[in-house]
Amino acid sequence: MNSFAQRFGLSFLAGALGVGIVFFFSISTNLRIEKNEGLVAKLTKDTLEKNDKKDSKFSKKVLKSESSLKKFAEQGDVQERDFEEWQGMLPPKELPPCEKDDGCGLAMACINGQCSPCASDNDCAQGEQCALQHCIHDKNLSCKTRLDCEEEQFCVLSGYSYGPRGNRDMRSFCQGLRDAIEKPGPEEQRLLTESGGPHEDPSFDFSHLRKGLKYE
Amino acid sequence: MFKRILKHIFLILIMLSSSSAFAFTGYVSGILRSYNNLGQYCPDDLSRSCVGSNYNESDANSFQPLRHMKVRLYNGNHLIGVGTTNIAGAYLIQYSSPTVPGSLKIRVRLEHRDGRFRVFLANGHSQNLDYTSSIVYWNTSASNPQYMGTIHWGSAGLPIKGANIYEGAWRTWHYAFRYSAPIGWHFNNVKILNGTSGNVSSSNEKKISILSGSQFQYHTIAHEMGHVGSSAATNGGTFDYPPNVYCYPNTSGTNCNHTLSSQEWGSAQFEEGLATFMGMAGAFDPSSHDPIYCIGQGEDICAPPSTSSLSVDLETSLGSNCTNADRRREINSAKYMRDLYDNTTGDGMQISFSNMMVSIHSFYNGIGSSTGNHGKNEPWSFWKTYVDDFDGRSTRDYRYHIENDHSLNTNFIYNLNCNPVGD
Repeated sequence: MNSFAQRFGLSFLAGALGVGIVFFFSISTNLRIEKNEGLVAKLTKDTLEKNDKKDSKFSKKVLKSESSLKKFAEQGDVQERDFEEWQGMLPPKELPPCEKDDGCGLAMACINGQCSPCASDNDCAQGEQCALQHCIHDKNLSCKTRLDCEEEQFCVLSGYSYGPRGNRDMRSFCQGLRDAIEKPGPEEQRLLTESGGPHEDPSFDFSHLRKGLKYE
Repeated sequence: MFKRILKHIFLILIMLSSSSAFAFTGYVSGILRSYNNLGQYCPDDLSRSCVGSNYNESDANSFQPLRHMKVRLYNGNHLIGVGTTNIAGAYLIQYSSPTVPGSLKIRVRLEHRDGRFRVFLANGHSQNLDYTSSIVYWNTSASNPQYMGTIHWGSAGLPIKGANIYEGAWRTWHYAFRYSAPIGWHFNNVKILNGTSGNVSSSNEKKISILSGSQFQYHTIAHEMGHVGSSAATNGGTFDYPPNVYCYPNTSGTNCNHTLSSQEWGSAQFEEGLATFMGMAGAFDPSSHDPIYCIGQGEDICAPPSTSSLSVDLETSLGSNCTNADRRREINSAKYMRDLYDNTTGDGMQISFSNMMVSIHSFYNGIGSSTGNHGKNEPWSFWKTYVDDFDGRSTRDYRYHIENDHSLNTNFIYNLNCNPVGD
């Protein structure tokens, strides 16, 4: 009888404790999710409001060509982004767990122990800011959304870089139709290929940007 | 008894707290390679010049890095880390696992690191390459990761077709497409199917199908990439309207046995020539003297035109005395654009790839009145909102556009080729 009481008491206490812990984590998680959803909603609202003031022709053109992308996203492979923005480098839906702020690859944020696209600077590690759902080092960031750019420009990312965080050399910058670099010559390309190192992508060097058309 | 209960509660708390916080973290590194059987390279036998060629014999028939590819790390079936390879196929990934892994599995899905394109099986399912290590090191760090070694997939006797398609697509992206802003904006999440019943591209769906048997044909892959690239450059458009009506003088039907040298309507001729130009811009720099384009050939070497009727030198002039049939061949459009792009002595206009694509982007919206000569909807039919002249939006229209918009005179290079049709 004594033993039964002990077991019953222990089970009851453990159960109550478990329920309490689950309840606590549930509340804190929900609060965090609500906070993030609020940020996303606010960003989207701000984007829409500011875009209304811009020339909407550009947006319509973009939307037209991205209708197929939505179809792809619905297949469950990648996450969606505000359609007013550049639709490149959409984060995958399936992402691993994490332990620390800079504990994710692909420049993802660590939110509630899960690698996720960032929604605000607070989601990223120290010295990083959030641009297009990716955490970018302060020194490599020039824009966060298309609203930071001139008309008929996109805010784009240069691409993932080698390393556990994936953002060491990744840049965000405004890009217009004519803002592209000249293709390097054969010798430069040969060195590029042979280097094999993590610094092999000079394709979006700012010093080369904003070149006008030059026909010779 | 009360002390014993407290002791049990304390132990349960320890267990609960430790289990909720526990994570096994670590770092892995390694190099990924696949046997490259991609053909149509520039040979070393001096039968032609390989100056300016980006794909040479030394790149072929050997293990090559799986470049710029997304890499996933699993503990059993649980994803615990993600990363990418660099241009040498090397990766360094950090991971966090809720349990101590009994093994570590590296998986690639033939997916470009930045999501530009991904190779799937013909049925649309994911094609995975896996490697599992039963050894798991403790106390690893970014500077001292668990090295998984160099992993080799495929062999000379059994190269992996999907990985070879990836190599061809990567080369097209890396050596050409990434230099264009409009392509960079819209060339995302392109789906490449491996081993279908035909080599086709669907611009609207951003999908490329590579015929079973064509998986090792670099130029075929590059050409099909060119169609989706053309669509990206024009923000979702296509110059070929009505789609798939190639065979002049027929005005209906599909599958007209389109080939490099078949007769085509002006709009189809321009779209096909543009796709070839764009694909070959990745294979050959502007400095190339012998940008030889091959299609439909199964052999490794892209044979010189002197030995194969299916090879065409995009630089060599055919002369100006061409019959009407010759003028409708895709190759004339591709050669004109090649001469706008190249910088070889004598005839190159030296327009960069990025600026070529800007011109393609603006050309799609037409010139002047949309219903006038050279206009977007030339000639206008009130019930249609697209170009309905089979010879409209042709290479001749493009010439008119690029000359007027940029104060160029391309008469010299235009007349080096069989003048493509169009007005």
